[in-house]
Amino acid sequence: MNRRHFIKTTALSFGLTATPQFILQAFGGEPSSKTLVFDAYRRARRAQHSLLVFVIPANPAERWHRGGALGAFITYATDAQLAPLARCEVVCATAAHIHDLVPNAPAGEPLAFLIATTAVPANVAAINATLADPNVRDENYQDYKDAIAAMDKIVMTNVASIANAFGAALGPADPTLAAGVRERLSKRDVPGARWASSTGCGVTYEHPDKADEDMGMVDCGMGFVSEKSRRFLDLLADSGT
Amino acid sequence: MQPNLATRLGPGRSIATALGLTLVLGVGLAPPPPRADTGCAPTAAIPDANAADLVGIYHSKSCTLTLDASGTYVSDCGGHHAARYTVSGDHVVLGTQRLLIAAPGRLAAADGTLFSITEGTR
Repeated sequence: MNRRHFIKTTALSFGLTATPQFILQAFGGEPSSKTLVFDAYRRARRAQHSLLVFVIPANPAERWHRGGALGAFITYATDAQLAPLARCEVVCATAAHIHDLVPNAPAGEPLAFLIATTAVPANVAAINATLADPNVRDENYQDYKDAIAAMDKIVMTNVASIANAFGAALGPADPTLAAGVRERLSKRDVPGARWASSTGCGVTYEHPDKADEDMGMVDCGMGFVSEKSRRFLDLLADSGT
Repeated sequence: MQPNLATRLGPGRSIATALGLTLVLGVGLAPPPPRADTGCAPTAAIPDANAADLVGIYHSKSCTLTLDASGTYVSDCGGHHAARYTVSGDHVVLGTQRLLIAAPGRLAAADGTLFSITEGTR
């Protein structure tokens, strides 16, 4: 069996087939990202912060990939890389719902939008970063451990890319502020997303206020996920208002 | 004696020449395409810090009013409306309508209709 092909196919099919089920389960009674983004704006305004919106792609495969990259950033970023987010309220929302809040925002689905809350009309800036897919590799690895190491390396390259993009947009901050960011964004669900992890044998959601729930969706033993790819943000997209 | 132009060209070539001339003259004499009417350039909105406090999705018993962060409002109250809003004193002005800013997240219309934001998603 072609291992590379198998890994890629497994990861892709896992994401594509599982996502709708995630959404159905995740959105039982959850507000839409439109409500979330307006509420986040008001919180940011009260705290005299900017609003940083992680854009939820409309394409499920891209959503899966981006959720992995953003999740890895929050999980593995250094203090200096994460600290700039201390001055922001963070929320995840679709581009359509972001444009409901700020119709003057640039079109498209950048990684994020930075929205000033000091005045109306609000200044809006798109934040872009080049991300690689850890599950798509050209190298012909003979050893399983080499493949895992290569995947982890791509994950950390994405972390650095996102950190550079956010750092350029937000400016540097005192690294000691990173602890507060982790408390807010890593130990709790980011609004519009749920923390989850997978080892290639189903998905486990993290709920600070209730027991985790396990969802088995892929036959166990049929694939693997590198260590740094395991934890991800499940970006919740919906069509509601 | 002048040569007969029609005879020298032949009927086929004459028709082709006539068509060609018609096209050339037609293009040349046709009135220029209408210019796109750009109208007046939109007036740049003055940044309003007070308006930032009002941004939100407001609900009354029967309809929804959204004040966005770009300074426009969308309402389905009595039909669909979308235009700019401004803040004047303790009122938010939506076209000809003025809503009293009764409290944070609460607006009151002159007919007594209350609009409020329901937060608490985080």
